[in-house]
Amino acid sequence: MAGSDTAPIQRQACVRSVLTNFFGFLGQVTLFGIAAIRDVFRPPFEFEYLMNQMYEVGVGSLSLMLTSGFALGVVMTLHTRSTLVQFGAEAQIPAFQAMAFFNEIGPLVAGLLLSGRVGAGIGAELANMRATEQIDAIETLSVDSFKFLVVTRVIACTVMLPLLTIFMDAAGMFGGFASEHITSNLSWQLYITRAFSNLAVANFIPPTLKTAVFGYLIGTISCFFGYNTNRGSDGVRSASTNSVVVSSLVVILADVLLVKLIFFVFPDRAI
Amino acid sequence: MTDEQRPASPDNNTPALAFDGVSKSFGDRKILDNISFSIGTGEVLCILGRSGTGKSVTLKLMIGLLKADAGKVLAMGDDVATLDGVGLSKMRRKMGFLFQSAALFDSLSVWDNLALPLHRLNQTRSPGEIKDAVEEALEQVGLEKDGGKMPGALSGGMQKRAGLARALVLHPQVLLIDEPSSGLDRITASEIDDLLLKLKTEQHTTMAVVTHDIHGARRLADKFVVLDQSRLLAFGTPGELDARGDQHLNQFISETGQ
Repeated sequence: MAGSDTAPIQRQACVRSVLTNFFGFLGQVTLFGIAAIRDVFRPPFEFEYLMNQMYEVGVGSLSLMLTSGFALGVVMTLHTRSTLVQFGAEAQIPAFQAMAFFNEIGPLVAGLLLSGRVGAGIGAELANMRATEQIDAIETLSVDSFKFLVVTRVIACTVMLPLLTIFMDAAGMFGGFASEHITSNLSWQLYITRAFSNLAVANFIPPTLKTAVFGYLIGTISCFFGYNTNRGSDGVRSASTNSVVVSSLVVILADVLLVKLIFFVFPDRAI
Repeated sequence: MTDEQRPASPDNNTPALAFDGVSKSFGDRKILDNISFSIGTGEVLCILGRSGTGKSVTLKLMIGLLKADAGKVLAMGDDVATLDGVGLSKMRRKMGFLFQSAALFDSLSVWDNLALPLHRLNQTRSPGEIKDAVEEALEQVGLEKDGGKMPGALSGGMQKRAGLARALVLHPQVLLIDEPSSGLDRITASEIDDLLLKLKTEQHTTMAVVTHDIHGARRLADKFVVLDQSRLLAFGTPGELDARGDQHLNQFISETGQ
């Protein structure tokens, strides 16, 4: 009898504990991200190290983005062709491809790929630096480890992801063209004309810029897990895994909000 | 060398490093319990004790990487716990730290590891001056030909020497060293001891050295701190500790050093 009386209380305590942990984590990550933005404007500015990080994030991810974009472009065209042919609308394939890639597929897939490649790398690298006392060593040299390690990586992800998205969009369009050219001998000029016939600048700029937010989220979350771990090799493993899982999830959730925001700012695109 | 970097002349009136009733715990585990000692400028303190008795924690408290739960840690007159980020940074500019694992940045070459603090803290220095400072520090530890190597390509002993060079490159007034001879052969360990002795006699660098090498410690130390089970077992000059005739202490020191 006593056991059944205490069960709801235990459930409440369990729910309270889960919620406290969740909101505690959310608060810590938010403060971490705010501190990263604040420290961008605080000297000294780590230009040299920032350039290294931008190279690492940007150039290091370029081949992945180009290959994935090309393959996705081919696959998408193959799928849309089989459907649109039934309605005699295969001429719309380039426009459909451009709309899908520039609006959603390019930005979202680029964000997810970056969270996989760079997010895991940042989480593991910083966690390893923490485990091997390299972050402590930076502090003993009077160098601000947060500015040096975290801020540079967050900036690099924020700046480079929109650029990588442009490359992914271009590779996707090229993949679509290659597929169409092989299937129907469509010329490059006609493909491009059809692709961009219904595309305005407003279709391209906001979705590409939203990836800067994705990049900021990926950089912040990955750095948070790596910088704050303190559990040796186990910490490296969990920081790497958590960086990918949480940043991928947050990118997808943020995409929902940002698409709604874009539709709010550009209502003509919501039709 | 700027005035800030120049080692102070020996002056034992003001403690360079002091612990006043310091306690530190990690969770339920008490690491240090009410520890008090002090050393003057230019003195060398060797911290002895079994593994896990809080020797490395003592060094990290001195440089503000950890905060004491109770008591005061004084470094060059500053109460470390009360310093803000800027104050802590200023204090650390006068200190060098050699980690037990050397803790070199594995994404940078040895040369860049040494140049990093010079670039960040001495932005008025020309590239030529930075080059000279790095080469001087590498030469001090016998790594003048290995500056271009990555830390992963160095042996454990070479990493330790590179770590020491990085700690020396800013000409610190206070040097904190965590097990300088661990993992080194006798000859290299002796060379490191000679270098530390030279820093002591020629530059009057204040040092706190965690070590298990009792012979090296006797050559180097002005004072011993002996820790056992989170408490201060003994503090004094080697002569004072020997003169006590405490067999338990002498046996403990010799066993710790094995």
